Amino acid sequence: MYRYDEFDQGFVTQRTEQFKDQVRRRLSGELSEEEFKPLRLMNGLYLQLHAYMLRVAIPYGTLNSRQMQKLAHIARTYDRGYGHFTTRQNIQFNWPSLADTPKILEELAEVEMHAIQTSGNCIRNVTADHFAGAAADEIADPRPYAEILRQWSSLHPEFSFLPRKFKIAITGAPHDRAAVQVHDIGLQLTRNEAGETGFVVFVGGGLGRTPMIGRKVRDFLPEEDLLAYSEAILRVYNLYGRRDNKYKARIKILVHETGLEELKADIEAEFAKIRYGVLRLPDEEVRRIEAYFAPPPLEVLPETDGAFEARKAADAAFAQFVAHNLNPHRVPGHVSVTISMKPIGGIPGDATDVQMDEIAAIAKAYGHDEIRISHEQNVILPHVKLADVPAIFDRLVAGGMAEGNSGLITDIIACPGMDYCALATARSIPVAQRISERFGGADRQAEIGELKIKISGCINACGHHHVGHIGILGLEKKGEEFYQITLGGSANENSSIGEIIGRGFSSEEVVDAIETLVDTYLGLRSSKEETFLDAYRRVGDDPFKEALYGTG
Amino acid sequence: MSKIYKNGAFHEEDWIRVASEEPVPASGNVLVPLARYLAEAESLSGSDASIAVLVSPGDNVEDIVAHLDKLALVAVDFPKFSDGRGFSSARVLREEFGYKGDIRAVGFYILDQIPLLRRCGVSSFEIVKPEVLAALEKGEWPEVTRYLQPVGAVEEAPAGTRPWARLSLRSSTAEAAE
Ligand code: SF4
Repeated sequence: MYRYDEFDQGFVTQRTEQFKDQVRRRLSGELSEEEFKPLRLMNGLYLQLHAYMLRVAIPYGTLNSRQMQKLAHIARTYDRGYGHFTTRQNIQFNWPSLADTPKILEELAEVEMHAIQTSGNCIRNVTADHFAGAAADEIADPRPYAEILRQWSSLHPEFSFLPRKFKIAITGAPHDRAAVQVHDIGLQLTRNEAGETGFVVFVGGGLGRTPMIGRKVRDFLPEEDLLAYSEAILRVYNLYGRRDNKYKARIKILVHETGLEELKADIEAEFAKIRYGVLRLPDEEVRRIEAYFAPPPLEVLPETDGAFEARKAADAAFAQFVAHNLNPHRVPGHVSVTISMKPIGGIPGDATDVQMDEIAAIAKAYGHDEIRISHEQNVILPHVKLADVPAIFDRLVAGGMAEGNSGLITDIIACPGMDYCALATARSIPVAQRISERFGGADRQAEIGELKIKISGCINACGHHHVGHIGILGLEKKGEEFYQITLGGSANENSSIGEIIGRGFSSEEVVDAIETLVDTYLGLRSSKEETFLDAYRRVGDDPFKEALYGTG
Repeated sequence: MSKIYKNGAFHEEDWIRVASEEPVPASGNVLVPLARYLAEAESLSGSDASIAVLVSPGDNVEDIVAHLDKLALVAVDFPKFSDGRGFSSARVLREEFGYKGDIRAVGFYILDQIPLLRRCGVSSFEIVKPEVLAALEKGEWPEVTRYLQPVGAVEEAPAGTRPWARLSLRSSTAEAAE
């Protein structure tokens, strides 16, 4: 993975000092809260319902065991013993004090980490496929490009006061696990006919109040133009993005209101002016950064392992884990393992300090010291020998992290909702917990198969409900929570926005409603291979409406 | 008189801002909104007053390209510090249109934005906030002096092999002096 050199180390250290001084000026009154707000946000510090929340960046979700141990230490020392992995592959701490934050940032800087631009109206943490560098279907590792973008976007002098937040995601595989089409900029690595590397570029995707799928602006952007083209997009957005209404300020609205062709022309015109300037990426430099991400040396091993197979035959929980939590690796005899942060009835994405330490230890022992956080709020060990999976599984069982539910109905994404978030209109975590309990039986989940449920506690859609196969949006009417259900959303290479199925359900009814939808699907699917999403796309929403509301 | 900060020193300068309808004074320093300047460029250039253009958020600096060599000053307005359009306006003016005159930030920007504005090509600052004045007088310049974006406005030293990494010359002289 990327290693800081002296320059990078100096950068984060200085940034920490700068923030310390900003906190001092706030406390002395030199900065008003209004003025301090964008400064603290740019350093990941939010004011939540009960306390400050600090969001720490995990660039493109990649970290090593030393860094994971540091996060455990921070959870233990400055928080209440846990952290929460987010849908941007970051981690948040929910209970730090303002006075402690500079100290926390100093500790993070010791292990090459920071909280730069994890919130605020600036370019946020760049996300990437969590199986990057390991997946069998990958064209190239997207992380070197994510790292280059991370650097270029850090404390950018021109783009630190954008109309609104700006999110970039990149995937290196044709099967998009990074949801690039619902980002402000989505990049998909590709090769042209000459075999050169470049990107398909999407602009203007996003969720929130007005969900939109990104529009393609480039079929092939050459590698060397990555920064110049990004800068052109950002300049057009910074100058022309709406600033009169915060709900209309994302670039997706600009795309929508200006029209794709006109905006594309604006971007191209700006790009033409700067294309051959200082931002052009020299090949040697890209290759140099790529070398940081060179995969660990992995021996080619037999595709199967005797002990592994025997365990699978004898142990149903292990078999379930194997069936759902392993991803094919490019090197035979290896896999990527998903460690579920979704225990049945638990809080999606929460990890205790003890669990973080244990993940770090397992990664060191069996995983070449590499850890990833997925945007689905799970933890990944990208490079693992198939033969080591039983031993890893045993340790996960002991740590309460062995649920074999990756991609299944209990692998729920939920935003913090009313339990933490000041903007929430309803709770989301307890709904996730109740659904998880209802469907938590191993056989039942396996029978249902792949089904992504995503829950947001308000219209801002941090839980990505628009792209859930089943999406749940918590709203409020006359002091009562109610939940609106959408069906058919998806955030992969065939992205779609879910459709509202009908009137919402009360907190008491909503889990029954989900069960009705699931049973309806089980009754109409053409075979076990037809997933919920496929079945929905085939039959449309009528049968589901009928089951939920009857016909009048 | 307003306090102006430029090249590490303060001085006082007087600029009269005229709105769209007000008469333009016959002499003195006059700051004219961009749209009005365009509409009246000819009569204004005949005036004895020195004329500068005020660029507001939403103005397109490309519109004054043809007039840049007549303008000794372009002021970029920040009616609200959170509106970052002026950063791009200044940078485009300096780097894309090669404007050589003074680019002045006016309005309600905050201290932490000054170093960023400087790198975007702003060369002088009209200061309205007393705490900003006090901080600059104390020599404060709150920034990270290792940059990850090359800019064309300020001379900076390359850092290592990354073509986008730069070191502030400010800091190297300051550090060398220590
Ligand atoms: S979706 Fe709403 S409730 Fe949930 S985290 Fe975002 S702002 Fe808060």
